[in-house]
Amino acid sequence: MKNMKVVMLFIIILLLLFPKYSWATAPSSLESWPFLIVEGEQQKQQDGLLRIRGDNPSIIIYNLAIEAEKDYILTVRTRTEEDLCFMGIWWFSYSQSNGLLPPIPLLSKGGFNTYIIDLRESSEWKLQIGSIGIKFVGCEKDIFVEEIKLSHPQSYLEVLSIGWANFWRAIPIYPTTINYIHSPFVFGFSFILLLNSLVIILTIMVGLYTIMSKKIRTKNRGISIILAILFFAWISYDIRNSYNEYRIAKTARIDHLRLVEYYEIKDFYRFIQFLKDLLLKEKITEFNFYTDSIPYIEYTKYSLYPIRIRANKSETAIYVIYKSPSFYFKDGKLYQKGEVVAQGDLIAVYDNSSFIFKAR
Amino acid sequence: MRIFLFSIAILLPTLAGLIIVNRVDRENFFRPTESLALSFSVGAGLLSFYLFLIGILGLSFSGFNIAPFFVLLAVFAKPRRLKNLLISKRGISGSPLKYPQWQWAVTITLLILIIWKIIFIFIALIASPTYFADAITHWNYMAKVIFFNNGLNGYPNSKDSLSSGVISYPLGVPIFKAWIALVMGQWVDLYVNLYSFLIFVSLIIIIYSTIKRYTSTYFVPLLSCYLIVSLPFIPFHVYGGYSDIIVGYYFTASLLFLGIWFSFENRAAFSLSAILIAIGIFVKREGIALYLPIITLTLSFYLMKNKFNWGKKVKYLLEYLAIVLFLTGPWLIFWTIITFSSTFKTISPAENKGSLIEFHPEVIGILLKNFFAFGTFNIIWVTLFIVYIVGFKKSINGRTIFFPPALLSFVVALFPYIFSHYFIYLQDITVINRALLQIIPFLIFTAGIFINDILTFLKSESRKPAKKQMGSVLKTREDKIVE
Repeated sequence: MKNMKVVMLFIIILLLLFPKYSWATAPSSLESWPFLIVEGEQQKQQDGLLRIRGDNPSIIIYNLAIEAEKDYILTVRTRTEEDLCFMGIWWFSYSQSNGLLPPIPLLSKGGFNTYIIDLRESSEWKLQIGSIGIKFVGCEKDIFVEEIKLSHPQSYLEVLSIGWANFWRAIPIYPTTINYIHSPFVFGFSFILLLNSLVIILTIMVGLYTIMSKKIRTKNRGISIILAILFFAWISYDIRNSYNEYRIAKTARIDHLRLVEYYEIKDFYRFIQFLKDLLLKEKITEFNFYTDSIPYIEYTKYSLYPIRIRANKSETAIYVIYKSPSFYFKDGKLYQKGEVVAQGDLIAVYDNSSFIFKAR
Repeated sequence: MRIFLFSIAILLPTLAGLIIVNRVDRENFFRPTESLALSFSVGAGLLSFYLFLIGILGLSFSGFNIAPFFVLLAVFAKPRRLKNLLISKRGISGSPLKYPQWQWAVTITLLILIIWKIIFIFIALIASPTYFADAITHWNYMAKVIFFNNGLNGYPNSKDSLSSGVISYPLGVPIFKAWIALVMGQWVDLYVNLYSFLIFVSLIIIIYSTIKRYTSTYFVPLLSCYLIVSLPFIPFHVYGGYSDIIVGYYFTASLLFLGIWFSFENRAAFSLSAILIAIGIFVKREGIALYLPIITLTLSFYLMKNKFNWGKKVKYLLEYLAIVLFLTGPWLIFWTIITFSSTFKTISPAENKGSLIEFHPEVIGILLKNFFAFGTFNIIWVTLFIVYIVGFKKSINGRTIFFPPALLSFVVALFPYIFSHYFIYLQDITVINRALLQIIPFLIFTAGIFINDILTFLKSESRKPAKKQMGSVLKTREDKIVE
């Protein structure tokens, strides 16, 4: 009997190691991507690494012909020294549809980290994929990319390990979190959907069994079992959710100036502090505000009230430009897309595409 | 210093609320913690009504103008002995059975989990800026406008008010947030957003205390509280700066107190229920559009079940509505004027486009996906469905009084998104879950009552010799509840 158990264990391990698919296409490494474009500053290191930086830089790989059903595991091996930044992944398929995943938090410690992402988490990962993009959001320091590859698991053990890793991947807070919360995924399926299905199936099975049974004791035991199923299913999801809450709490910084850094808004808070100090110093009570991102207008309006902003208007002498590369200052003039907006002086410069201008 | 001033900002309305609660609760029916939770929420709401009133009269929110509110209440107060505040009568203990020891282990675990969750929410809150859209564009923004203008200066005509989200949104929450900032003398997001946290804690206390009235164990009340605090959606609404959890509290508490009034014939609960829903109306528009009708129907249902004569039934109904109208009257008149005035068009897209009644067949698919494939509310829908079905069959007679309002709440909460142009908010999943969040505490409370009854039933069945005795105990209680 004891030998039987050992044999069974051995068989299970063998099964897990058994190749899931035949060795089809060898996974491509970063070097072999022919149509890789980086939006942002880039530099290829001698050791073959790609070093990129900039304002939310991204890597886009065009002219792909990936069968979504076959290759659905994206591996990105990268290193960042940022405390908290994110990786956004999106793609276009030849069916004109496109998809994206919720942002993935990047780890800052321990050198290179490998992120193995199951793209089936999105129902839009289908048919033939034409291009794929990776955007690094909130990463202000250098990002080193060692490898990007699309593949599929080679064994059942790998299926398990990828499924497990994806299941525990943290889901960060981002703007839509206030309306709905994504479920974690396991083996490409929504975890909550699996739990709901499991509960329904088990409840029906137990329910039918107890209904058919003539013994009152069995009927009552059936009710207890159903309650227990519900309780344990609830707890299972809560354990996973608590882990996420713990991850969020861990990244929270209790600091007056730099509060918890949410997705895509880190630099903005710094800018607002910079602007607030300047406006108070110069005793400015209203200004024209230009930015390419609409949410920033609302955030600015809220953050600086009672200082009033005139969004995309030229009603006052002060122009505040934030992350709007179409604006530039040259020879005492403010230009937008080559056309003169006003004459005056620069009061302060925040970065290449953000500055404060005063019209004469 | 900030913490001290914030404490004053919370303590003053809590004291005001305590005066009202003690004045109403002549039988000393409510537990001290329950009274405290109620006092804060009632006090905050009444203070908001008062500030709104002086605001539309053109008075500023100065100490001189605000003082009469507290002075009037102080005069109105009838200080009772300290003993009365600390000791209260408890409700009728529901279950005469003791649960097995394993439930004690689970009970303690649940308590630890609840505390952990609340601590986590608090940590996240103190480290969170105001981030989400509606808080930025309306809830906190409007509060900031009120704070910096030291009143409703020119509302709603002022440019600043008009640039807020939707002009016909009730002002209860922005006014109370502005009050916190006024007492503190500065605007600090963290302290302002603590308002939702305190309401959330009050919600947990009220849910716990009310279920405890129907059972002698700690297990089911704590389980119900755990189910609420462990909803993945809850933390973001406790510190997100939105008002859904606040209106959800007032709606839930109002329904619970209506149930307490029916079950225990407690007049204080009746009056408090009316006060709470009135405050709810001043929190979000759902208060008047959805929740007042639900409450009124529930009250009518309870009155039908009561053995009062028709005259008394009508008197109760009118008395309830009179309290609601007395408190919300100024706001409702004001709201009617600004809503139907051509000057103030709302920005909300659904209100300006589409016909009132619509049906989109795709609604079923979207709802199923939202209910079962998103992690917003854990496995709540399956859980509620099963517990309600099993519980309804096994429920102790008299306890099913919570089931009709629970069902009604669910139907009413979904109705606009299925059968009107508000469908767009279901389609893009922007509002639907927030609407459900408002009713979920009450749905969980009802499930808690059912779970208690199921466990009681199972226990009584497993101890056959005790069955006869058990039956007689329940019958007595049932009679008391029905009477």
